[in-house]
Amino acid sequence: MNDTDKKLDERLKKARTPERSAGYWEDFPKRVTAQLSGGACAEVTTSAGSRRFWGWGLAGACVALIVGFGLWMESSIATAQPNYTKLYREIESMFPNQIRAIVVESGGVRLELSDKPDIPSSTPLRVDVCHDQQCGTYITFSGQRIRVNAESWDVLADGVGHVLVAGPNVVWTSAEPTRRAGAYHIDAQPLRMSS
Amino acid sequence: MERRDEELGWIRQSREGDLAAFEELIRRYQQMIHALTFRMTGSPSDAEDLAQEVFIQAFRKLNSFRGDAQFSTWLYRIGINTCLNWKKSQQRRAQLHHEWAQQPDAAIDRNNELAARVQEALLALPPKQRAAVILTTYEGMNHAEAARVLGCSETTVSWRVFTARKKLKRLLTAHE
Repeated sequence: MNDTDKKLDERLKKARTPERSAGYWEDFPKRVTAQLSGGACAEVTTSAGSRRFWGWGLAGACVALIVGFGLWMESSIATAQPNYTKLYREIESMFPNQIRAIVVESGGVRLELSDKPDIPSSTPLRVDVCHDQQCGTYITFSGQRIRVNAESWDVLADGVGHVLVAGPNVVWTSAEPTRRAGAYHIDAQPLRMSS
Repeated sequence: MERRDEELGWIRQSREGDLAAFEELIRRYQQMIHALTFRMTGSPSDAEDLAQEVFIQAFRKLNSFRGDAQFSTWLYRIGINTCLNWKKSQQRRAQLHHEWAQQPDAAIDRNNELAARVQEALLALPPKQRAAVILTTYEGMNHAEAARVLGCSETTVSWRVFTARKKLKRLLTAHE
């Protein structure tokens, strides 16, 4: 190896990867296995900085939400359809501009939050996804990513209210709602805020 | 040997669905995989998503690990493939974002100027060349080991490393 090569190696090696907290490394394996076991409340996605702080807070919030959601489901049994608008408003009041996604699945409610109030205000979108007789509803915003079957899907909205959902093997748009999206059945629209 | 036996025990238990054993495997390799996914993507948040994806894939494919290679080599292969597939989906995603006028994800930690410059130079490489440089320069693999991870010949690795380093030299000296 000549001097130029050595110099290049030194320079490359000086560029270290971002440091993460001890709490992050402690939590990371648990977050992976929670996904593997389909744990409803375990996946709370924030960036590394204040993960531990939010972890405890959100774990509590998540438990409270599951209990609250269960009671609320019972009370709204007559309508058979959960009131997503109400759910969104209540969570938004607790975490303004931090909601990346509210996920309602058979196991309960899961929140994906930013650690800072940096999510731009826009019309919330409701995305319903069914696959293999399992259904989930995501309340999210244009430009956010949702996790479906361990894949990241983009949710985007245009100026006229059409919603595009795009995953590694799926592209669906509300402009062509009858178009098949592989093995998935998808429906998406702006969340009605009037109820 | 003790370390390897311990690891094989965790792998066997994980195959039987023991998630606590799999957590031990994750704990052992999480920093290695995060370093790989960060250097491949340049984005801490994407690196985290991809690292999760790598371990999820690894768990699902554990039955295909035959034990004739190091577990780390097998895991690296999954990591590289996941990152290369991410690149494809990122290109499609970037196109969609452009079409739909969305803001791209902010990525590189700019606090460390040198790290940012090196990372930018790495990202300027074609993904397969980048992978070859990461494995040989950062992970200290020789070309034969890197070839096993990348699933190509040693000659191909040597060529990718040679071409990539030439480009890196040019990109990094241009900033001096």
